[in-house]
Amino acid sequence: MKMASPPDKTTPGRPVLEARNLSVTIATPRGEVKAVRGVNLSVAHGETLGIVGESGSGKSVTSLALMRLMPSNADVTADRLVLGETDLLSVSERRMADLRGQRMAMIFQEPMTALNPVLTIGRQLVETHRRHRRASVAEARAHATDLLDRVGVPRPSERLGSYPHQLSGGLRQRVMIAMALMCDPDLIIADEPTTALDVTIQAQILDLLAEIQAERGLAMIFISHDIGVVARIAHQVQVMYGGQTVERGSVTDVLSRPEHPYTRALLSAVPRRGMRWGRDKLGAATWNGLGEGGGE
Amino acid sequence: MTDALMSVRDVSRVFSLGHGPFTRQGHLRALDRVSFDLFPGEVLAVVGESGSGKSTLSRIMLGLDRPSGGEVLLEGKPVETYRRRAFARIVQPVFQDPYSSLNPHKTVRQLIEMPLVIAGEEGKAERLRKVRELLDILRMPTRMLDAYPSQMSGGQRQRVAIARALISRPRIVICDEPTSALDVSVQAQVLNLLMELRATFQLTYIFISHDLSVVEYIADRVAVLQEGKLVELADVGTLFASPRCDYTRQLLESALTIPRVEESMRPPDGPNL
Repeated sequence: MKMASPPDKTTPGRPVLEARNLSVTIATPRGEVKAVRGVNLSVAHGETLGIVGESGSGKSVTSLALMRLMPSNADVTADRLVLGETDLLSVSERRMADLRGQRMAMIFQEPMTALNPVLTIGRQLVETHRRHRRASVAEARAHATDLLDRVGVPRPSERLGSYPHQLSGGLRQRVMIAMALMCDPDLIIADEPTTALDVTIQAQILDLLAEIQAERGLAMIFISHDIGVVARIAHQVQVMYGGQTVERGSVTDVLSRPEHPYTRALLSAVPRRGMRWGRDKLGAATWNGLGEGGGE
Repeated sequence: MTDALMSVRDVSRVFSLGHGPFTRQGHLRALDRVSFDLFPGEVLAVVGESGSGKSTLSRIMLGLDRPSGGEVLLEGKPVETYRRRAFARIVQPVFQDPYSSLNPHKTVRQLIEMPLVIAGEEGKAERLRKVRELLDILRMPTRMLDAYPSQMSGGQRQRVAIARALISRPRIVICDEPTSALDVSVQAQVLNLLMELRATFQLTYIFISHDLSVVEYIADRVAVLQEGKLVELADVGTLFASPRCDYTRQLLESALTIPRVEESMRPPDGPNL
């Protein structure tokens, strides 16, 4: 099992991505919803930042806001939002489209909806590359074949001609990873990339992501509701609740010595190896400290 | 040895593929000669990955599907000999997704009392009394009686689904991934609740899940399905400590867990923090 040890809290080097006081307000017919409220985050080269939270905590909206993939009824504000040298708040939509894919790429939960069902995977991989790199078709195909091989897709050159529905869920997610890597980005944002997969496949995909992240020195933001998954892959972790970060730190610190009552309540609700009803009891207290909650 | 409440004997289920113009001809063996007994009062977990036959097995045990071969006995008699209503009084389901298993046009009260309405034995007042009693046991406020599913959270919906399953006082509840659509804190509440209800109502559970940590927490015995075959069946301690089958070992190794929080870090029980 590959698992890089968590780096020091003071990771040297400038962050690849940094957000200060990021807020997202969504206008709905019933009024404004503050989905993200003043979140700070930063992730450096060679580092994986895990964002955990339950549904409605704002973790996915945060990731979409970082990619500026929010619909027009959403208002994204921040004191600072930088990718390397680039200020993401001021770049044009057109420049942003270049950055997505080239400098920052995203891996979604459900590859079947993220991939175009009527195009072969070869076409989709090659298109990404040609869109950003102006490479020849032959070069792009060669690059795609190499990457499919790297992410563990068997017989990669034949697979270029396959359609998404002809692949298993695990293979599709490998194709998504290859697609994210096509332009050699600095940052990968993975939003629940293994949630739709079986546990054995999930373990393989997490190992693959960790290997690739380490070998290319990528910065990765990994979003999940599953604390076990984040514990396996992330170095730093940020716990979100009600659109805010309630706790942040190294995975070891946060998971073994949680300080915030929400983190403690969340961790106590996770069944762990060796826990048995009758001897142990899962914590089912709802934490009600921030805005609305499921108090009963 | 007590008598089995339900016995699955050599059950196979073969689906024929290839009715449409674009599908391949052939057969899919979703279950392949699966046999086990379910004993009164136990929690028997069925684990396996997608395509292993878990859901086909649950549908057959619920009488929603017929095996292609073999038979299922309920209290010693073949399930075919039961009338639909008599069967439903003994065996009830709780499904995975409370967002799709509850009719959105019905209120909580209508949803929960439906099994009694179908049985047609009690009057309106008696049904309402039973619904109220059950809501009380499930710690749901009675003001919920007239709420619709869209007004409820996932955890509340799953409680309604559980109440509906329990209203006719069944002996067996077949839970097909009952917590996998829920957040982890809500999952904990529902799991604790299911286990409390087991004692209150003397229930026997079939608990279908892909989550081994959940299974270890609540199950007495675990059956492992792989591609339609029952590859291992053992009590939970044995299975987790010394799995016999390679596939079980692989599943256990793939399951992700987190270290235990130190005792002092546990949140206090009881009221909200």
